[in-house]
Amino acid sequence: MTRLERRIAHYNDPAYDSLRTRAGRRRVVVEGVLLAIAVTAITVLFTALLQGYLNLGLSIPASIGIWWLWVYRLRLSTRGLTDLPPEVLDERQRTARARAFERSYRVLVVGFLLLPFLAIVDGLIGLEPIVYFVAGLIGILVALATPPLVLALTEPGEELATDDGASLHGAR
Amino acid sequence: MAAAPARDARDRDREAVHNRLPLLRANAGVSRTDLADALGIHYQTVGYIERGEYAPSLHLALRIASFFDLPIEAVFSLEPFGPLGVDALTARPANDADRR
Repeated sequence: MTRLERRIAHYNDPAYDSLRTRAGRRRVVVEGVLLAIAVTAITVLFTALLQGYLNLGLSIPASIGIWWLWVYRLRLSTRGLTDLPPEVLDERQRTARARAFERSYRVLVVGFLLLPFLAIVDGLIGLEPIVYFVAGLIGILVALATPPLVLALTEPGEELATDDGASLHGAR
Repeated sequence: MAAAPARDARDRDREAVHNRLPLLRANAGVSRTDLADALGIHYQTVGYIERGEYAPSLHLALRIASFFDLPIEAVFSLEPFGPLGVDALTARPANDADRR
């Protein structure tokens, strides 16, 4: 089994089906909002309590670790559609993937347009360099998380595979 | 970004493609996974098509119709399919009717 096949199998693991319903995906998105608050609190706390390199050594790995776990859950909830190459996806998945990237581009453009305002705020109140550094790292993770996040928010949720037989459920 | 799902829902309503896939699957005793494997698509895609949340390409629609050995208009329609009436439910098999 190649690495790509292992990734596909992992992203399609039925053990994570509860994350793939509309409610499950919303729950993962809410977790992300709560984690953003937690990461900010950790960064502020460590900056206040610790000095220089110790702060860097603790707050950055903690922030990256927490965010990475969340991005991983987000990708599981969307079957890794934004992570896998389009060649291994079917036509609906490729369409959803393309739509997610198109919308993410718009979200990220707006996000990057806010950067000059951050510079203005810095000029007014003088932010610590460490805050810029952590903000940059979080920015990279946010850029990684945006396509699956958009997918989780905008695509219809899946049905739980409780009955995969010749069910009439959903008949039109 | 919040307006996107609402717009998608409107687009889906306007461009809805109705199908008889659940009925045909039940009739043929084929699971979503079996159908998906035969067509080379994800089993969830079959569910999305059945629920009208995804309109397949012409190529895929033709392959689905071909799988059930039916013309495409018997499987997909721009208008909702009518409910199965009493006539259809009480109809005898064609060969049974020929015998009488």
